[in-house]
Amino acid sequence: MPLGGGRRVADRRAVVGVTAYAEDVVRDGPERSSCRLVSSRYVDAVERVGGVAVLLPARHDCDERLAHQLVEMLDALVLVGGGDVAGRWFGEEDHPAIGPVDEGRDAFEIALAAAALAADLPMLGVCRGMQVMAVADGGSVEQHLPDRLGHNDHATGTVQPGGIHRHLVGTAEGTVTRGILGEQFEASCHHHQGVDRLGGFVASGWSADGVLEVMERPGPGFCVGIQSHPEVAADDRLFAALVATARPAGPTMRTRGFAGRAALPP
Amino acid sequence: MGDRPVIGITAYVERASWGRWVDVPGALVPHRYVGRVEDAGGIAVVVPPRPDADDGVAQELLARLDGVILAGGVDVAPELYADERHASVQASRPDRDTTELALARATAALDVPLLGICRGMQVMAVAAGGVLEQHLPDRVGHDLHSPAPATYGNHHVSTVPGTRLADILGAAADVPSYHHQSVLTHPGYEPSAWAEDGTLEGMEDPSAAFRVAVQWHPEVGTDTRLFRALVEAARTYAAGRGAARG
Repeated sequence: MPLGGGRRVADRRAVVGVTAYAEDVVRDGPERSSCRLVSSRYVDAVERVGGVAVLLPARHDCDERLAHQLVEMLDALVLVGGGDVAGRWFGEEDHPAIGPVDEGRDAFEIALAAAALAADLPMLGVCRGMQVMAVADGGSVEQHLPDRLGHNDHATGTVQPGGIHRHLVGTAEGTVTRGILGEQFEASCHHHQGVDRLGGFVASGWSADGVLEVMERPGPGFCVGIQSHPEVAADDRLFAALVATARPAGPTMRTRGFAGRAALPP
Repeated sequence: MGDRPVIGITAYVERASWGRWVDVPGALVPHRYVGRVEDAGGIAVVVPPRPDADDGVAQELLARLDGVILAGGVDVAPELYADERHASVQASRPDRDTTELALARATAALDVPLLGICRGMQVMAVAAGGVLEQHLPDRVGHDLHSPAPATYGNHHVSTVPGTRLADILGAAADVPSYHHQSVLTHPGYEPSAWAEDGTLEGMEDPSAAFRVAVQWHPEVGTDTRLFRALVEAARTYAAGRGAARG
């Protein structure tokens, strides 16, 4: 019997798509080379909670059909951090303080998030990923928090381990977020933007200075955006909830199964 | 047109620097692999190495993939095929060895189209019980296969008539090259290309739908034919799987 036959559903592992950056990378040696990559922390978190991670490089020709195909292939999705989302996706001019934007990555991730929302694919958005989720659902990004807050504390420190900004986040009663993270948690963050309009999400966590820190989508599935970096804090609770909620038998049972799995119920 | 075939590309985990991040671990592949797959009509996803990869993980992945590329990288740990480690062998990456050996076994069991590139060819040979030559220059007496750090060689290869590789590339090709090891024995695979110095440059499993390996780097340079052949095989595989589930 080749691989693939007769595995019980309980043995199956969720395959979790993780978006990737396009960057010029320096490895051993001085030269930069164009790579598709993600910080290992995201992959490690997915693996620690029992998932199998695959990275999804952004492509500039992603249409609805391709996004749908990727969503069908996956049991859950993580939209990772990264640079700023361009203002045009939510009908605004870019703020002068905006960092370099990658509109190809924006378009890919917004299409992917929209397809995931439409399919109720369990989804976790981290930092930029939270903002992408809001934009994909008709929301918008507050382009430079210091304009409103009068300080830039959320982006102080370096992005290196240990240099990230830490602060407390309070969660909203009765939310999925509260159930997973408790009344408050310590956030590790580095951002100068935030979610403004929430689309179909509801606010589920705030910092003391009034930054929206967590949002979730009402309903039975898992769909949470968080402005801080649980993968940096090695706080696996959201990743564990994501994988626990991942489509129970995976899409493979229904749409891409091996012959050996065909006997299992659809 | 149906869905595009999904090709999994194995990845490195390396300490790397990008943007404002300095010397932190990242799961990454050179963009060239991804771009080649996309240009050939496939969807590229990247499979990070993990130290605990086993047949179950490989099976979970292959349930979503229509083809696999075992990418280039550091030397396979000699302990997997030899009694002694040559002094020139690079620091081993057990996570990659484990993950890619599992994928080599599982793709063979399921006949998922597979393209092995450089290290990937060596992984395929080791997974099949083969043996590598740990430092090729000791035998051939030159370093044309890997002339200097971060510098690709370019040399001639001749394909073996009647092989899949000869169908794809014709009788000969000039290829970009960056390796100091090579495949000596390869149970289940037939030789499909040779360098003029006697180095095995290609091998394939004649009983498989598409199980082709090359010792060079087709993602470097401009020859896209191997990637197009893989994506076509993956498209056929995906269609067959779709038909099987009725």
